Order: sequence, then C-alpha cells, then structure tokens
Amino acid sequence: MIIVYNSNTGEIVGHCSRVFDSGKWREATIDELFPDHAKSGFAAVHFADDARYLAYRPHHWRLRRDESGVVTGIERLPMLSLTCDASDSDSDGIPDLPADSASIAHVTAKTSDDADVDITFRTTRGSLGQRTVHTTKGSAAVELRAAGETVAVTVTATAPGYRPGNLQMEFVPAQTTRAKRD
Amino acid sequence: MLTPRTRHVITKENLAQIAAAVAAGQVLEVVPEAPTGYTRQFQHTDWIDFVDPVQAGGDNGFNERFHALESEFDLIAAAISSTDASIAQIEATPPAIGLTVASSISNGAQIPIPAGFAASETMFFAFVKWYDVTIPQPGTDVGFRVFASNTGVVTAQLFPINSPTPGQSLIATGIAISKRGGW
Repeated sequence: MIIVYNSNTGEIVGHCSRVFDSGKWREATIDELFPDHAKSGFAAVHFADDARYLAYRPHHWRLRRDESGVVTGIERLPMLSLTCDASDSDSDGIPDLPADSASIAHVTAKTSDDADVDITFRTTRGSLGQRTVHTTKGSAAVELRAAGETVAVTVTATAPGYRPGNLQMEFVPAQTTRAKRD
Repeated sequence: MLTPRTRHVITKENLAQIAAAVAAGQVLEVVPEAPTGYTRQFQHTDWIDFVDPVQAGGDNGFNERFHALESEFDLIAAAISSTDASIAQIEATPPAIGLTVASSISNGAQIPIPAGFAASETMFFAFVKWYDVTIPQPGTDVGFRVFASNTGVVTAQLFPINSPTPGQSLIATGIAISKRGGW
C-alpha cells in the first residue's frame, strides 16, 4: 500500500492499495498515481496493506515520524471522548434529561493525548452554552439545556487533528423522571 | 495493397510499399514464425538373404544407409529446434490485453496503467468500494459520486462537494483495461 502525503504540511492526500497487474501483484508508484507530484510537493511511504486503514476511515490517520522527523508509517489520530453528568432515569443505558426546557447537563470532552485544543460542540436537539471551548489539561465542558420535546439527542465534539467524539442522550417525559426520583 | 494472410518479409526494398499499405488502411499483423514441421525422408529398402552382398561402400552399403539415417536425425533435430524457437517467440510476445485492479484508491489519484501499455490504449473505470455514513438529521445532504476520467484520474467525492457533511467516508476501486493498439 502506498500513502501519499504533502511533504510541506504532512497531510495525507491519497492512497492506493497494491495493484493486481495482469496476473501479478505490485505496488503502485507515486509517479503513476500523481504524475505532477513534484510540483505539488507530494511524497510517499509504502507499507503492507492494512484493512484497518480503510475500516477506521482514511481521514482519521496521520503520519508517524521518528525523533528526527523521518516518516516511519501512519497512526490513527488521537480521539475526543465525551461524557456527561446526566443520570439514566429509565435505566436504558442512555443518559437522559427531563424534556422541560430547563434541565441542564454538563457535557465534558477530553482529548486522548491530554493536549489542549479548541473543541467545537454541536447538538441535534436542546441548546449548548458555548460552541467552542479551549481545553485545560485536555478537558473542556459545556452546558446542554434540555428541549421541550422528548427526542433522542446526539452531541458531537470536533477538533482539528482529532477523531470526533459522539455522545447519545435523550430528553424524556419530565413527569416520568420526577416520579422515579420521588 | 499487400496480399492478406500471406507471409511478408520486411526489407529495405519493400518498406515503402508496406508503409503505403498501412497508410491506406491495411492492417498488418506480426506473428511468430510457424514451426517448420517434420516429414520423414528415410525409406529403408529390405536386404534379401543370399542376394544382397554384405558391404560397407556402394549405393546399397551400410555406410550409405546409415548416412541417410543421420540426415533423417538432422531433419528431426531441425524440426524440434524450430518448435522451440516458436514457443520462445510466443512466450516473449507481450500480451495483447492488460488489466489492473486497485482495490482501494483515493480521490485525485490516477489508476495505474497495466505494465507495458500506454494510457492511450487504456480504458478506465472507478466505482464505490465502500461508503460509510453516520445518519445525520433529516434534510442533511449526504451521498457521493465516483467515476474515472478518460486519463484515469479518480473522482470519489462526498456530498456536498465543497463542504462534505461530517460522518461520511468513501473508498473507491479503480480498474484499467488496456488493449494493444487501443480500443
């Protein structure tokens, strides 16, 4: 397998598996994949075909370099993980908030390499206290205010150079939540 | 025009004639020389007891008869050599059809051409190998388009083209098929 990258930015710009060429397997070359690679500043690295590269999505990988900066292969991007302080009142394994337009949960994103970056939060329902938060010691939190409708919610956190994080939540009938609490 | 399906040896003298025939649209094919084959020449005439004298020389002597056998063996050897040469020529002749398959290839890359062929002799195809999407909210634009240009450059793009919806991933497969002289 060949991975083609921009030698100026380090960004992976393309790939090609080994090629079945009239009965024989061979590696593709950067010259045939990107004939203008010299002008574009592209370079390439070869390694054995690995199904994980495709299974984990090609854009979730980056170059791996040794201490002197020489490209030695590729590795998966660090990831963002999301947690929240909402309870699971109906015990279905999904944290929930009463659908009362007032309840609040704190959603926390953490970088897997503990680096500090700007993390952007999005939600499919409800409202967020902030859109983008800079992490401290790899962690950042926002408030999620419940909506008035009983729906499933997906909160997403993204940051450049990181695999995005997702958190599934739900807004449940407010009376059910209170009754359980009582 | 040259007589079709006949053997022509290209020489300095007839080169212009052959060029003129090709320019006029005639298709000439270069094929390996056919084996010479073998036809037995030796025919033994029986000796008869008490009639034919035992002798080395002369038309009916052992020497003449065995030299005739040597000539026969030479004919057999020449036939085998001719067959060997024809097989070697066939093995050395490049294939008329070439095929490459790149089971996964990214957007913007050119599909590798079969070894020994030119891009002008090649047809290119690309199709989706795998499309992965995290179902977004209703109304969000998701999808893809995959194709190969006439020069083999793969387009494998997610929707919307200029700013794809997050949560999508696309892998293409590229195929190139070449024919000697073009399709």
